[in-house]
Amino acid sequence: MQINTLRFGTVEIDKSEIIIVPEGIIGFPDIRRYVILNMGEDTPFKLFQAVDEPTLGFIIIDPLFFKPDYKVKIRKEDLYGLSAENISEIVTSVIITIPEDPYKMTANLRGPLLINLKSRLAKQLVLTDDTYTPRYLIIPRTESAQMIGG
Amino acid sequence: MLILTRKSGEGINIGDDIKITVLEIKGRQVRVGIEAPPELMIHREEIYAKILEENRLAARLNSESFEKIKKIWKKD
Repeated sequence: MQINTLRFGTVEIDKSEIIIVPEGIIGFPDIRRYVILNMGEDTPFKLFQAVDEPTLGFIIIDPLFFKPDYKVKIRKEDLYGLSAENISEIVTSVIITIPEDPYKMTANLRGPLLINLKSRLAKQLVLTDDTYTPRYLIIPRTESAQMIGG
Repeated sequence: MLILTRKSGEGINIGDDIKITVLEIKGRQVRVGIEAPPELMIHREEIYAKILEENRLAARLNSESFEKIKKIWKKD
């Protein structure tokens, strides 16, 4: 099927690629169908694009890419909600916010996305403890520095 | 808004399966216990608001930044 997107124009996707977010992303409760689009061969970022709303898309990334010790406690209830039998079926992604100066981009480590690539169900968690911030600066201030913890 | 006065140890039932209990009142803080079905998401208001705001900001990405970040960080 074809979908319209602001970023990439018309894109051909397979229906089986669609990911359902039954409760929606927080703030966007009515939009439930998304698809993950590649943004290029050599970038770690992907676009979590709404299928039915061309202008809505979130940049996501595997948090382990810049924070190897990132760990989310997944509750049993979350597994049920995603029709997952065990944790290995679940992929964790985080949403990136990009301000005018892209080098100051932040990752929302407090509200990670859990995606079950098998059942194609996803949800956004809100972590109850204060370990992680919704505005984690990904790129260290000094330009010369490399990846945090990398 | 429905407003009820409760003492420490007293509770409120909402429907059949949600119960809120005032566990402790200490100065300006109140400890509240919530029993609810596991599929219901329960959040501290201010944290929920932060995530919501962050999501809205994240969704409001301009095309220029979008093009930039594709190149900003090449995978090894």
